[in-house]
Amino acid sequence: MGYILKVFKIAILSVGILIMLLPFFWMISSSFKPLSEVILIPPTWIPHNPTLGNFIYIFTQMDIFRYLFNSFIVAFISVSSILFTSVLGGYAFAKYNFPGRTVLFYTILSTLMVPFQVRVIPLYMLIFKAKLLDTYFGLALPGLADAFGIFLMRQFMMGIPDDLINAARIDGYSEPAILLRIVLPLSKPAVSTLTIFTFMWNWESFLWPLVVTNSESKYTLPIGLARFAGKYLQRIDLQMAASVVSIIPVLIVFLIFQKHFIEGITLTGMKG
Amino acid sequence: MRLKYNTKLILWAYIFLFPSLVSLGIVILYPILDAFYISFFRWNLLSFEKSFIGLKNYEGLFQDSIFKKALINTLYFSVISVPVTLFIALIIALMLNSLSTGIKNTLRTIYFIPVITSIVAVSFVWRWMFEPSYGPINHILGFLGIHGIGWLSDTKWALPAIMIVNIWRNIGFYMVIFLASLQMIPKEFLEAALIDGATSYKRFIYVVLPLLNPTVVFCLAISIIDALQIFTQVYVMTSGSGGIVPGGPLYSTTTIALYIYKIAFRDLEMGYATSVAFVLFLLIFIFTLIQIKFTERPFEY
Amino acid sequence: MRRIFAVFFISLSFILSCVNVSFSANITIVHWQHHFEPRAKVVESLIKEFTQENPGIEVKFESIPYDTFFDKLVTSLSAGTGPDVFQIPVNILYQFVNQNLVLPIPSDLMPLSEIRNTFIPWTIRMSYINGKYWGFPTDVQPFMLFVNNKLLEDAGLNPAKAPKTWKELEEMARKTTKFTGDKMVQAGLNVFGNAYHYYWTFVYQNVTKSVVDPKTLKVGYNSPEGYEAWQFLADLILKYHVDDPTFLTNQDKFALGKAALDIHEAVYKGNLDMIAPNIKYNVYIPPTKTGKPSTVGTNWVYVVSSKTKNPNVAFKWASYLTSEKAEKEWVIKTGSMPSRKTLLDDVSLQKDSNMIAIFKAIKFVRPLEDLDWDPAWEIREECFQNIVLKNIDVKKAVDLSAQKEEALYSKKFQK
Repeated sequence: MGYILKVFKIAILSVGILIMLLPFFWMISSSFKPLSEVILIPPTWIPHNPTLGNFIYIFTQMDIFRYLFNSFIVAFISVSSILFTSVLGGYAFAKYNFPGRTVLFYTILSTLMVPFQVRVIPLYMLIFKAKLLDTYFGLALPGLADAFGIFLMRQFMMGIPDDLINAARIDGYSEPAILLRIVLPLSKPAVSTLTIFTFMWNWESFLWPLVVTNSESKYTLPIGLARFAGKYLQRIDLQMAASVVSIIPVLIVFLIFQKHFIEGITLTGMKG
Repeated sequence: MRLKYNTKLILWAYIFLFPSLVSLGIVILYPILDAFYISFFRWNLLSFEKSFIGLKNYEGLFQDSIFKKALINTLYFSVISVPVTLFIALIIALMLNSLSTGIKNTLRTIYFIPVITSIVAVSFVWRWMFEPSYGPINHILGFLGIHGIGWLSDTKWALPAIMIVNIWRNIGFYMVIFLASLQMIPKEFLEAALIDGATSYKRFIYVVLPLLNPTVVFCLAISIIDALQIFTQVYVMTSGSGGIVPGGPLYSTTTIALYIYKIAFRDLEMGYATSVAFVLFLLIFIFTLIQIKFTERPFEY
Repeated sequence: MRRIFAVFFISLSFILSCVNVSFSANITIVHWQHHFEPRAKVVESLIKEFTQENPGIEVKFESIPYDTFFDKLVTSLSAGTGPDVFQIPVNILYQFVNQNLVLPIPSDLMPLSEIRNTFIPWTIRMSYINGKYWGFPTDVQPFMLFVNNKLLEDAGLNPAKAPKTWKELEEMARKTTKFTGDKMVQAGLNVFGNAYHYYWTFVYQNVTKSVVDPKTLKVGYNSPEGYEAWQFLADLILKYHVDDPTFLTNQDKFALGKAALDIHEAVYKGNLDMIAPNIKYNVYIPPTKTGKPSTVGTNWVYVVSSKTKNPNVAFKWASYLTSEKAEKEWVIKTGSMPSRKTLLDDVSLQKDSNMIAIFKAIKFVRPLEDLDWDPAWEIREECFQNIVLKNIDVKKAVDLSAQKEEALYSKKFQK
């Protein structure tokens, strides 16, 4: 009985894995095919006429490294800012008692429910009045602060024993020093989680870069890929090659740091 | 914790809070208020005039057939993709939980790969996988005797296609969260639940599920908020040539978020767009409240 | 330590992103165009020639993707960061004029009479507003029928023989549509690629009075002639199955060699030569119901922003783009049609029978009368999809579309 269940489980999981990986297989397979083979009916799984032409075309026609660079810069600005504001803000909420604390915290938390679409138009107007359209700062603006970061930091920091902090105060540490020397090192898991989440969120951001970028030199990776595909809507072979190239950097980072990724998600789930 | 209001400490608290408050103020609070203000105006960018029209934007929504379609699409999408995603994620998590660590971690990583791959790239891949004449999906379905599904070209199947992509992508994410939660439950409970016969199902419902409750509530909340705002996949998968706004055949994949984008950045009607955005906000708010009310149950560890 | 780093980097990025230094003492003209590869290349080569002939002037060119073009244009114009010279469809020029976003062509550069004598009448018709002309016509596009010679021959048809009537078109399309079982493997007519090519062409060919009346803001395609045009299109799909939405969805069937016939703007010729050089094709004026030649055409205009700091130079550049020399380049390199009357008879530009056919077709063009761009387009696209995807009765769908379009125009014109 248990054996049948086990076989059943393995079967389902195997099918699951197949389904998870199938699109990647098709993507890689198509990226090595010429267009004529991509649209062949019935489709071929292993390319009959494998070619590197698509990738060569991509690297010459698509400014991938520029897009990667742009995505990175914007994500970097955003992560720096969010870490800065969230660590400080989260600490304030977690370890200090001040008038308005509860109200302020729940107000900030409630902003998580507000969809980006509500903010996008005023932010857009702000950016173009400030002549920040098509700039890195403009791209990073909505990502400069987030309630989630404050929430995560606060939840985590609340778990740090007050005695440690009080002891440090008695020892003569200044408030900022306590944060930097004692609390922050203890908050590494949360900081690393927040970094990963913020980075990922920025990396995938689409609507904002879509409306804020004009020139190709400022495209982030998702926009660069979408624009490229828009230019070559008919060239599925090129699109697949471009997709492969877009996925690789993050995939590599993920496979190296997967422990941190998974831990981060777990942490969020626990604190949520 | 002492409730003494120490002035020096309060000052430091405010100093620490200052960066967040300023940045949140600029990036979140100000836009929300401004958007609310704008929604009472008729403001077409091309005409530059901003005329106060009170609630006319909101009234106009009732007559807007495309808005209604967007609303239905968004709800249809959320109501189906969220439970399906969470259900499958839970099942997979349960199955993985009883495996040895090595295999479990490998499988976990594999299931997580769709989550971290570029959503744009993945949407393009699925778009062409769904291509009705030569795509592998229809090819495989053909082996199973199913023919003629038009997917993204068919008003009936376009939105389901996008649902499938979303479910595929998100299963890994929620599975990891469920897995972590399951690992906190003593193993005996689960072993007993899976090995025993008929009673295991009941044990599962009355023991495991309640213990998972907070996690389920959390996952439901974020997946609903996520589903109601879906934009990128729709944009990428249903954009066509000729510059016509994406949204599928006869607006069958037009979601509220996509509609907002179209009104604001194609029709250039800023006032109307923000009113739709607030309706979306209202939707999220209501759904979150309902969901919390219905799933919050007392539990014992 | 982290904090210091963060502050440092944030400030650095802020500074970097705000720096926008221009070291030249030249006059710079910013030119925006919606992106289309062949045209972008011509603009670049024209810039080179123009700046050589006019030292001290620099032209900065931005090729903006179509789907964000209007949004970027309007927001930047209102913010004062917009281009000096840009292009818009002539159909919405009046909107820009009404909002004081553009300048009229100065009479010392080109007086009214000269404009009328130089350019093809239908390309400047909608450019005449409040007694002045506001834009130089460009991107002249008659809609033409493209036929794949080989696919026609395979079906026993003669690609050198131009179809003249709708009936002939229908027969050709039917003969070149191929199925394997019930799956289409070759489309006779590539309708679903760009449906608007078809309903615009057929409607403008068939409806004798105005399709959109600028005075009454009423449309004219919900008339018997209009219904007839729409019905013809509906029959092609629903009755004769010459195309299927599930076959090569959203792809260019003609360029892939999977469709025998296609109606396209003339500029498609340039596109085909670039992406599908192996396809041998002929170009004809699209067939009409009666056989009397007629087709629809569109054009854009180059306009000068009212916020430009150098109107004289801007106009110099704008008119350069439509000078005789420049237009010859447009024609040769992109397959766009000239807007200058004199070039219509220029034999050096009509090197093959296809070009001759296109040039001839210009004389039979009925210009597009739309009073709005994408929104009007969407309404008729919805009409088309209602008919072919939902099998809604043609008259009902067309009446609904007319109603929506008229509502759109009255909203746009209300003050």
